[in-house]
Amino acid sequence: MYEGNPYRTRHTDDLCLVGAFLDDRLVGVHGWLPLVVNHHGTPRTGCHFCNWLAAPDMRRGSWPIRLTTDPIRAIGADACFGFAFTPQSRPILQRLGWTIDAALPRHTRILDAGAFAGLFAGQPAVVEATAGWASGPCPAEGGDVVERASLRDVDWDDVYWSQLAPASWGPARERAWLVWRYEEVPGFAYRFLTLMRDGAPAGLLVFRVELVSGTPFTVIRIVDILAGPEDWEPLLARCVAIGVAAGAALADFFCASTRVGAVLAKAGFVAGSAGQPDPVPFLFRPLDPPPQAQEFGWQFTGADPAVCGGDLYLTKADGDFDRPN
Amino acid sequence: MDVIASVFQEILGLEPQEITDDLAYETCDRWDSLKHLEIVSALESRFGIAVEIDDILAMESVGRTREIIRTYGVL
Repeated sequence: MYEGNPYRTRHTDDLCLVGAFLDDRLVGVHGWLPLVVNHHGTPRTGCHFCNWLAAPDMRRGSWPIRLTTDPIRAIGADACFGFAFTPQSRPILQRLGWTIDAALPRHTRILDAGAFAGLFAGQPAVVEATAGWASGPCPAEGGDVVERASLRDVDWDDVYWSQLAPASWGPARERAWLVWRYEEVPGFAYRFLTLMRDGAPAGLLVFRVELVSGTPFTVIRIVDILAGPEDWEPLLARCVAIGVAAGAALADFFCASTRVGAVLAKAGFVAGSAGQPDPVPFLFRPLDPPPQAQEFGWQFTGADPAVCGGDLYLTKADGDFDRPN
Repeated sequence: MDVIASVFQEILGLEPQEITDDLAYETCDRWDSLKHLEIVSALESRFGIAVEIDDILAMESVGRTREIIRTYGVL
């Protein structure tokens, strides 16, 4: 049985759920979000895996595997993405050709040392592990950075596909996706910073201010930075300035791309150590102890898979991790 | 017992007499998805082949598995 998406948009009006029944009993589900994939400037078909469940007594042979392969073939997905695998799903997906990375890289900047110490007063190990993470001065602001209430009227797709998309691959950041993800089905209240050049948008940063439940402290969660490398700095500078002015304890950004580390470091962000647990909690509703790494994975079945790799642009916003926990 | 039967017997932990061509995952509690992939990997290793995804999905019984492995020209 196939079902469409009730949250139908231009990107998600395809099939997105398959349920398997034995007699009248629901014994398996596979759900996914259809999306447009940017493959170095070329749009392709893809999806994000959301749910893949089989009743324990039905986890036999190839049947649960077919539950995921059949619908993905039916929609003709060139690429699939996913987060948070289980000991059961991980080896299956790897056998199906998925690349699964141990951790979605996180970049964190302390914005207000006092607030940071206050936020983690009950977790001295966090304060100790981050003792060398000097907050440093705010990066210098510059450029024409404008905060917007909505992206609906921003002429974004031309600059995205012609100037930004060729440098990376991953779930495409067309305006329709941005509006759907951050305005129509948001989970949180997001804010948008656009870098304008010659009257047109040249870059975009999406973030939100999160109140740590049960505390007076806030944190800045950056979820998308879409700009050429030279344009990240003014966007980050404005975001950091907003966070500092608000007295936020920290700002963070989860991003798979290996190209973003240098510019984030220049703005005072500290990258998590590869293969090491992140010392700073990332769940703030409520504040949790430092978590396990955020595993992510992808499969590319379309043409030219060899060029896919380090320039994958995938952020926490692509999965359910940027939903209220 | 041939190689294919011995792979099933070893991975599913069944008695030799229980491994027949009619043995299918639908009726074998021990033949779960992870065991299924272990069987595929073991067959790939023993025969020096790479089994296609469609063939992995089609291996519903020992007999069907034997038919599929035969198409790789190693039996």
